[in-house]
Amino acid sequence: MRRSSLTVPLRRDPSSRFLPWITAFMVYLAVLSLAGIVLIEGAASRWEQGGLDHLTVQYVPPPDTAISTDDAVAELVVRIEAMAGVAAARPLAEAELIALLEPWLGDGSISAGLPLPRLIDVEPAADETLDLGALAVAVAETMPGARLDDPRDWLDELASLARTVQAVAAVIVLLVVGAAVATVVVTTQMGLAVHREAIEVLHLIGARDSYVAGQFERHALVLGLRGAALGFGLAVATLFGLGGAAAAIEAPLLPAFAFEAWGWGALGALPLAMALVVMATARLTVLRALARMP
Amino acid sequence: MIRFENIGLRYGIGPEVLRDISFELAPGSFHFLVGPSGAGKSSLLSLMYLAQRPTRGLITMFDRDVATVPRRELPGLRRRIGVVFQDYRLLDHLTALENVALPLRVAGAKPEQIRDHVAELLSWVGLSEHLDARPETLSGGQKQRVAIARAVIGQPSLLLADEPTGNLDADLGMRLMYLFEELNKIGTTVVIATHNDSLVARLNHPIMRLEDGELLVRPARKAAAL
Repeated sequence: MRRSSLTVPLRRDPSSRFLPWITAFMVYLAVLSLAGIVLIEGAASRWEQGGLDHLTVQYVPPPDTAISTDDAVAELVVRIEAMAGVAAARPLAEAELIALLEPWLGDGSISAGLPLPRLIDVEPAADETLDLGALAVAVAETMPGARLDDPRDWLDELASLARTVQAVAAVIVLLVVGAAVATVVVTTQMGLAVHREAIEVLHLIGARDSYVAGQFERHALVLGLRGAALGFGLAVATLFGLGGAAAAIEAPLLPAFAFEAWGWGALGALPLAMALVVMATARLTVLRALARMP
Repeated sequence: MIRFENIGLRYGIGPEVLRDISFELAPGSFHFLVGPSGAGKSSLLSLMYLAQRPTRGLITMFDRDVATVPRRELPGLRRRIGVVFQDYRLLDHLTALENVALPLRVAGAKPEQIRDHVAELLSWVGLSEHLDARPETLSGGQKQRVAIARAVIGQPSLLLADEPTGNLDADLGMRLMYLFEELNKIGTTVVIATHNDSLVARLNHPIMRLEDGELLVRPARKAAAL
């Protein structure tokens, strides 16, 4: 005699057919939403800390300045590189400036006599915090006409947008879990109605509520795990597909489409958590229904 | 063992199907419960096997006031009661052996202990060739024997049977009654609801007669003669 076999014939239920598919769909959506949260997290944190891979200092020589532009730029580079948190500072050559403007002004439309501001590319140190306020003051004090393009304002807006997107994704995850719970409640109640006679017999011969609930719980766990594995597999395949497409886009400001170990851990834990939610929901639904029996 | 005091039972807002039922069954007693169809025999039995609560009155079973027994302790009480339902209530997806094993299984007995014990009992009721048969493949009489085996497998303190011999031939019916008497001799309290007057006449036990929701208890003939 197989002790593990179900005394309530749940395997014959219609729910056995559609619950795994519904769970798979829910897990698919939840994993993709969570992946969005994980992917944005790194970039959002960096933006909130004002972190950028590169900063720009702009120098427009004042009309009455006595110092040559090259000397002024060289002095600025020395001053900037002396700042804590700066890895390197490099003035852009005129050809590079023209190359930056050509996409907007057209090839060859920039004459040699056009006065262009000089730009200095500042690379922050990876292992040291750069005080953007102090850098802006130092630049302005070192050379009249020089200023730091302070990215903090638009970085704050970008970080705020990223956090909003994360919040929306988190709400989607919660809604998906809520929908999964509601589905399991309904399918479990259907199962209780269909198998009412068998449950009554078990009840009358002395089965504890936990014994009957255990039947539904194990059944729901098996179906939940099956659906969660399917949904997770499809979601991972989708993520790899999106990752391949994202790799072809050159956009340094966008978050990198790659997961660290903790990210994969979070994604992998989600289907397991969903299966456990399905199991616990089935158990609680049955216990609640049985509590109404004499 | 069982004491009913002024028990009343009604379903919903309908009339009382049982009225002022009072009786006491001593441990190890054997009673027949008789009465016309619709008199309330099955309702009275259902109160005894704790399938429902009375509308009024006090039920004491195994020295416990049933109304005050915590819910978590009710399964323990039910395991001391074996029930043969009139409609058998076998689980169609389980074999005869699995159906009979249910009370042991829900009580947590080990599978190896269950199989031998159950097979022996099914053999005794003449179903050794049908251990793995599903109820749908069994005749009415065979189903009834499976139901009886399920009721007695746990060696209950109280055995309640609702028309247990209704679908059996006379010989097998008597054989099963002797099984009930054997269980009674080792201390099991037995209550059998039946329409079978010849059976009641043949076996000398006290009779509980239910008519129009009211109960009269008549002692056994020998006891009455004393």
